[in-house]
Amino acid sequence: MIRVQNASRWYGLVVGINRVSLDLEPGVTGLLGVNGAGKSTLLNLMAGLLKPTAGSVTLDGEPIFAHPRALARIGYCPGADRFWEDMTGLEFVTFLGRLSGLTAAAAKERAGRALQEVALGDEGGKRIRAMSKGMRQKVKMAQALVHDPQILLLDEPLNGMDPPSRAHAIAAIKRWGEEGRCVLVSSHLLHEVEAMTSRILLLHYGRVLASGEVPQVREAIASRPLKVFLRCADARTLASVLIAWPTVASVTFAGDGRNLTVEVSDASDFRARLGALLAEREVGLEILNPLDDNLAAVFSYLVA
Amino acid sequence: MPVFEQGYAPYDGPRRPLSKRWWPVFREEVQPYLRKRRFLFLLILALLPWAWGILLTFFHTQLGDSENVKAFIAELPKVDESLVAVLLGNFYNLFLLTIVSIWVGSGLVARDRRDGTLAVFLGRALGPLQYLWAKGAALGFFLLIFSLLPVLVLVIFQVGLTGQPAWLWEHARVLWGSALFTLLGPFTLVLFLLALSSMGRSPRLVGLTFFGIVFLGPAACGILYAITRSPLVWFPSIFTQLKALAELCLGAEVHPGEPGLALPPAATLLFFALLAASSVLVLAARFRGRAVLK
Repeated sequence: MIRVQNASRWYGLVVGINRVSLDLEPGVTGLLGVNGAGKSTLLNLMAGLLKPTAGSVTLDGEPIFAHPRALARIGYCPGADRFWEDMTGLEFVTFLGRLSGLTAAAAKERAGRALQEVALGDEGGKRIRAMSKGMRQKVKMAQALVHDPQILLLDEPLNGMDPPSRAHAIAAIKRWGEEGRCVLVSSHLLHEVEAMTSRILLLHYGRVLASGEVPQVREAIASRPLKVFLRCADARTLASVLIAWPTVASVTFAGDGRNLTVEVSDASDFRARLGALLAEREVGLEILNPLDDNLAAVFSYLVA
Repeated sequence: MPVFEQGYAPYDGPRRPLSKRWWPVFREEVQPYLRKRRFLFLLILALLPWAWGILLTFFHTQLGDSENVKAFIAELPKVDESLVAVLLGNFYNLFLLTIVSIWVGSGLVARDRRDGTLAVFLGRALGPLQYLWAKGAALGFFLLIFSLLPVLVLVIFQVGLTGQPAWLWEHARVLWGSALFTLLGPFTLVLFLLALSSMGRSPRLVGLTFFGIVFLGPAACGILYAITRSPLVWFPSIFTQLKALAELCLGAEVHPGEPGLALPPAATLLFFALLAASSVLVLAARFRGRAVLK
């Protein structure tokens, strides 16, 4: 497991990341943040490409920076294009497999498998120079996977991919997480991160603003009550009961008078009370839908 | 494209030890040059003077007793320390050595920096030392053609044609002197080019800088010498020091009266020691904190 402890990285007077601490667990974690939040810096630190100015980044207790043994367990898909353009995709991935210690035959076989895994099997024989942006992204993902690493660090891996390729890549990333790999994926596209995982790490100005499961993070944002949409036959009666609860901040009628929007300061207390109410009284509840416990809401409340 | 079974099975096959992972980088660096005709032609050009050396061996051993050409052959130089010093330290050999150094060496690190592939190398289980070793070995491999390799071929011909292994004992300095020249001269240039290349992103600029240092240096030293008349001004000239090193290692004075070679042997050794040390310091500073990735 990768452990980042009080790690800071400064570029002269500019802060890359500042006193970041986290543990990267098996499964998929989404790394979020606006431009310049420090996502790529954190990924570079974890990939051993940067040395922390302060603090430490370790893999099972061993520092990652300048430690080939630790690096051998990490697969890194960089955000920027980094290729030998004259090679074919298969040659490139094979070469990097060899650099990671695979024998020539094993590297070629694994490269073929990795390219198939990212849905570039047949087109892997093309020269990288002639590849589209999406195909290049797939080659980068394949090279991160070729040596079968336990840790996968993916910097905006879905950029430039067409919708079917995105769907395929999302499924693949989820599968790698389910296989027990620690996968950290940075992205600006919240719905894609949401499709891969509910576990997030949100960076802002070089610091960890929030980490954990999206619902937990949402509940922790005390300044923004959770909005819940309810539709029921007897909305007035229900509203009169709800407004008396201490965890309900406001109740708003909408539409045809059967729709309610309730602002809740403590979601778990609200759920428990509502469950008890529904058990003892018939209110004709048709729809119960939390409006802002999704990733987009969490992101906008914390960052925007 | 082969068809594999579906699914991504974990890899549990053998892995190369960390110490051997430089080999693919070395191979990838050397192979493209071996496919370039112009580059191979340059290497063949470099070997021409050595072919003359082999011809001399042939004349002395096979035709030396012939009455018709005996007098003529007696006038020809013999294969010994002096001849090897001439072949190693002449302008032609050093000029081609510089050209090949620039051709291969200027892009060693700079090209990877420009393309962003340096991060790919260092992000793998490949330490900076292995990376630099692989890159340096690629340039060193080609520079052997201007130093130790043709000397070995010449010696093999000499011993083979005369049938006298005793020649090796009498002229042992040809071997160890050439090895020392290779170690101190061309291999120090490898370090210097690695350091220079790690400071730039443009192989062309690195090549031009190296060319300027090697060829404009002697010109500047020449002007200074004309003014000061002090041989000390030749100290920083790589070209002159390589010539001096060839003479020093083989114990032969083949350019008598050349002002740049009037420096004491210690100055030549000091020059190459300083060049190697400063190159190592630059490389350590660039790679230790990965400043080279910026």
